[in-house]
Amino acid sequence: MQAATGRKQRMISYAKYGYIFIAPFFIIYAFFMIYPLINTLLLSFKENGSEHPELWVGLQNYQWLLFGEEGNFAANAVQSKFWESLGNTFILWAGNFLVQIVLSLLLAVWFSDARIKIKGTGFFKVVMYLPNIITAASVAGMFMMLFGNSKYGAINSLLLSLEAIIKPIPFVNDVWISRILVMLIQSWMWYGNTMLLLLSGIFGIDPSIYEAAEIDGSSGANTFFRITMPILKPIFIYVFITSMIGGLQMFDIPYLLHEGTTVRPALKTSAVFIYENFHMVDNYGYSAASSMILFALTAILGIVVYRFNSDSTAPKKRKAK
Amino acid sequence: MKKRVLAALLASATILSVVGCSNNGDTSTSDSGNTSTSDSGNTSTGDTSTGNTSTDTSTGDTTATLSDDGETLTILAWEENSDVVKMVDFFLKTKGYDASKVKFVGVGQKGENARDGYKQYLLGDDDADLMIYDADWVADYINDDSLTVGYDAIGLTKADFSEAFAYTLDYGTNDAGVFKAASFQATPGGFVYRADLAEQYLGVKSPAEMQELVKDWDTFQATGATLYEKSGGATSIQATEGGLWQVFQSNRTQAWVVDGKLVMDNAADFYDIAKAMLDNNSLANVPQWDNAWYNAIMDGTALGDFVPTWGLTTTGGGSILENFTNKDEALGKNMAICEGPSGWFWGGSYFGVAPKCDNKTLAKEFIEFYCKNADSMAAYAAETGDFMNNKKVMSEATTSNKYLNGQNHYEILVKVLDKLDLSNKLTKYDSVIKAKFNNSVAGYLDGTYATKDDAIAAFKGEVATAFPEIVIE
Repeated sequence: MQAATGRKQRMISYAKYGYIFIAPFFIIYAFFMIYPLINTLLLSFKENGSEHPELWVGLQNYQWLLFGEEGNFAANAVQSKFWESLGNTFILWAGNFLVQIVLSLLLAVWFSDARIKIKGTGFFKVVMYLPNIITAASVAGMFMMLFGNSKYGAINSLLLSLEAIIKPIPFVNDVWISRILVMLIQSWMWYGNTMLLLLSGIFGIDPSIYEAAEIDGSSGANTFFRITMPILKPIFIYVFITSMIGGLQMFDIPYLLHEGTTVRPALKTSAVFIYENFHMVDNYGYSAASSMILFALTAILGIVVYRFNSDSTAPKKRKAK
Repeated sequence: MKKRVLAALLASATILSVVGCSNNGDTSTSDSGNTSTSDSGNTSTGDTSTGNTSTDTSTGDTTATLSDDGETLTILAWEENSDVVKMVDFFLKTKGYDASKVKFVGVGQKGENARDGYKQYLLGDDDADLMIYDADWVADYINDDSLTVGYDAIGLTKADFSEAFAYTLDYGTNDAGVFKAASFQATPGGFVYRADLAEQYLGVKSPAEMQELVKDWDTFQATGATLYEKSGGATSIQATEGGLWQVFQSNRTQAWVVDGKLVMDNAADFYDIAKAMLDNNSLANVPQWDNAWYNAIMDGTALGDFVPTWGLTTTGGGSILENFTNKDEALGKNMAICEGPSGWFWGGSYFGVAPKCDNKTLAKEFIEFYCKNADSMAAYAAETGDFMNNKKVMSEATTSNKYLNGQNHYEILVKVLDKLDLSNKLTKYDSVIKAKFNNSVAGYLDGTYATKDDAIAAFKGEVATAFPEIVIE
């Protein structure tokens, strides 16, 4: 009898320790994630500016950001700025994703192809992953040195001395050149990471399928589109969704890639919009509301992409089981 | 049994820590006299609103609470502020005080961090007597009675600073007319140019002759055109649009915001001036704070640029002038400075008194030492080469700037300040509005905005986004 109660007690106390050990995570999570999240939601219903920051204005911030207001200059100004920033974010992310996915898919297929047998894949993988390790600030600084607007920028100075151009090209000031630059920088930073994810997916495919295809005389392209891509789809969707979430929050490179004192208008992403409203001026209402809109947008897009793609893959999985 | 004791201990520890937290929260909020709670950024802005609504009445109340029983005069500054270190040392040395009598506390790395950092610091229990504000955000603090008290609380009035340059007194006075911040320095600037190129292309032999060629905006532009022609397209008169704007903005006849409305005043003209200068190659249009800026002066792409006092120092801290000359005295022989087309200033820092100041006498002594007494200010200027905020001291002081061919730039800069009048032209919106305006002009010059009207519309949109309360027509 005594032994039984002793065992029971021990079990209960183990559970206690369990809770104690996991408690730090939940405390930190609540403090740094849940509380700021709720507070952001509350802030988004309060007035802008430093005059009456505690005044409740209901959905006014959302209304102004999304729809503006007839005859209200401030509301329409912030609406156009907000939509512009969303447009910029989408353009920058889409361009970056296209380049990145094509490049990393190509490399992943090459590296995994048993017939090509590229030597030193380990070395290449490390080298290609390296840009991701460099902090964005350094990357932006490096590209600013290369692509300075004036004749003192490295590329401009090279082109001028080769007499390929007469006047320096304003790489960073030009709307589309600067956007393409950001897209390329983002792809360059992330293609190694994406490649590794895809590579792990490809290695997960049963090699016997490839052998069978080879014996049946399937061409390289055919094997890729009929075998690799369909099986790779879940990984592909994962890469797509994570890249989209990251892309919607794109901040550092667009924010840093400018000469002079301000972010280029063509590179003002939603995250930059939020930061500027929060930090440069005390418009906590705008920045909180646009954060919440961005949050909702990310969630909706994530669900749409997931649903859209899992319909075709889900039954297959069930059959396989 | 032991485990139960342990569990009880843990539980009580948890409860205690919770209680402890809430206690702390209570005291800190009551200290600041603030009823709004929650997030920190929130609280501090909550203060702002209370301060704004009760500016007139509460100043008198806080005056009474200042005591004199503190042991150490604590000055808040940001880490990169090199002035405060020198100032504290010099003050202690001159007065023969013990090192424990005055100390400075670094709050945040840069001035921008200090802007929010002070508010946090003041909520805590630590000692704070004086604060240093950057000119960009001094208005934030002096318009908020929970963050600052008037100078009358330490027994000083505006009349005590009769020798100060007028614009600094305007800067330290809040919207309700209470004088709350004085500056130890004034920050005028002049047109720093390549004297060798000016002589070669324009036949100018002295700064006085150069001044004749840049005495107003029309002459400045005409000289730019001549220079470009004479140099065979090699040299533009002005390096940056930003520098041009720093000077031009001092020509306003009204404040940026009058009765809650945005006033463009003559700012709209600046689009045309800058564009015309770019089109006739009088403006090299290199970016500020960039190697391209310094290179443009060194290789003669630009003749010069407008540089304020703090950009003229020669103490090796990487000032603008040091970058223009690559810290090479031989190159400095080719440089000179003249007044330029108008009076102007750029930046500066101010002393404010914290509501919990407990060293009334010492605080007064420190401020008088650096902002009022001619003798100590002259001594400090001689020691550091700073441009002190005292007309008498600066008109008598001489210096020989080794990167300006030994020229006495004080003499030039005193004249620049004579032309500056900022009374009734300052608002708390200024620093943000000025930055937005400069961006819009830069965008017009680099082609981001196709027309002047587009650029102005973009500027107004930016202002409306930043300050929804300002009426814009």
